[in-house]
Amino acid sequence: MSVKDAIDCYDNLAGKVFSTVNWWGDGNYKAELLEEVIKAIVKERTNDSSAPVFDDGALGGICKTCVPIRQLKASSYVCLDLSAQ
Amino acid sequence: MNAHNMNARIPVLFRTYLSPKEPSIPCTVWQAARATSAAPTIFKRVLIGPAARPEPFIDGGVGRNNPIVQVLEEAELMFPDRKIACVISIGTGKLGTIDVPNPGFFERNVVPVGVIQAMVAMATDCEETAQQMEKKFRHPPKTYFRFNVEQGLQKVGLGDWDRMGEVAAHTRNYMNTLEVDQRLATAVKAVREGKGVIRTSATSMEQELLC
Repeated sequence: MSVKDAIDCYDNLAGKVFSTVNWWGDGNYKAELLEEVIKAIVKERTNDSSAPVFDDGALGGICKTCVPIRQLKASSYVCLDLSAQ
Repeated sequence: MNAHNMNARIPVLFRTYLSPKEPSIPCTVWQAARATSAAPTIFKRVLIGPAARPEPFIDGGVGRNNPIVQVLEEAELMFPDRKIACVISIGTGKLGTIDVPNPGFFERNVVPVGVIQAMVAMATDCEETAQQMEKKFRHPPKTYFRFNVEQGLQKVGLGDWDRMGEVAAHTRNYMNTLEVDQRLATAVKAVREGKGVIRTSATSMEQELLC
C-alpha cells in the first residue's frame, strides 16, 4: 500500500469509526466499527478479511514488521522451534 | 478494565516473521489493529486466541508509549551480527502540559481519574524516552532521527476525525522549518546509503547501563 493509499484509508476509517460515540461499556468509541473497517481494508488488499499477521511470503522476510501489544495475563503460547527449519 | 488487569500486563510483539526466541502468537491483521488501538478510554480490549481460551490484549503504548526500546531489542535479537545505518522515530505530535483537559462532568463519572493521569504520564514518558535516545545516539552522529510535530497538534484529539486538514497543515509547517528540513535530508541520505555504523548489540539498554 502506498503512503497516499494509507492516508486515504485512515481518512475513511477515522470518519467511520470516530464519528460514533460509544455511550455504554468500555471505551469512548465502538470497537466493532473499527473491526469492520479494518476487515474491509484487509479483504480488499488480500482477498481474505482474516489474513494473518505472520507473512511467510517473500515480503514477510524482507520488510519485517512488528506491533507492540500488551497481554493482560501470562501467556500460554509456546515458542515455535526454529531449529527444525 | 479493572486495576488488577492494568497491573498484570506483559509486553509482546505481533510479528510478520518468526522470532528465534519469543513465542509466536497466531493472530490476524484485524486483531493486531484492534489490539494496538485498545487504549483505555478509547476502545475496549480484544480477545485473541482459540475460541475455547482466548486471551485479552491491549495497546502496547499503555505504560510504554514510545516503542523504540523494544525496536532496538528486537533488532539485536533478529540481526545479532549486523550494523544499523540509522534509526528513524516518528511521534504523533507533542502534548502540551497545559493542554491536558480537565475531566468534564461526564468523564469524571465514567473515566477513572487514574486513567487520565496515566495518559498524561504516557505522553511525558514518550518524550523522555526520545530524549534518552537522542543522548544514546550522539556518537556516532547522524544515526538517530526523531521527527515529532512540535506545535499545533496539542488541541487535536484522537476523535477529531474532521480536523485532518489542520493536522496536515501543522505537519507541513513543521517539515518546512529549516532545521527539520536539513535533518530530513540527512536521514534520507543515511537510508539511501544504508551503511552500517553501529552494532545492534551496542544499542540495547543493558549495554548502556554497563558503560
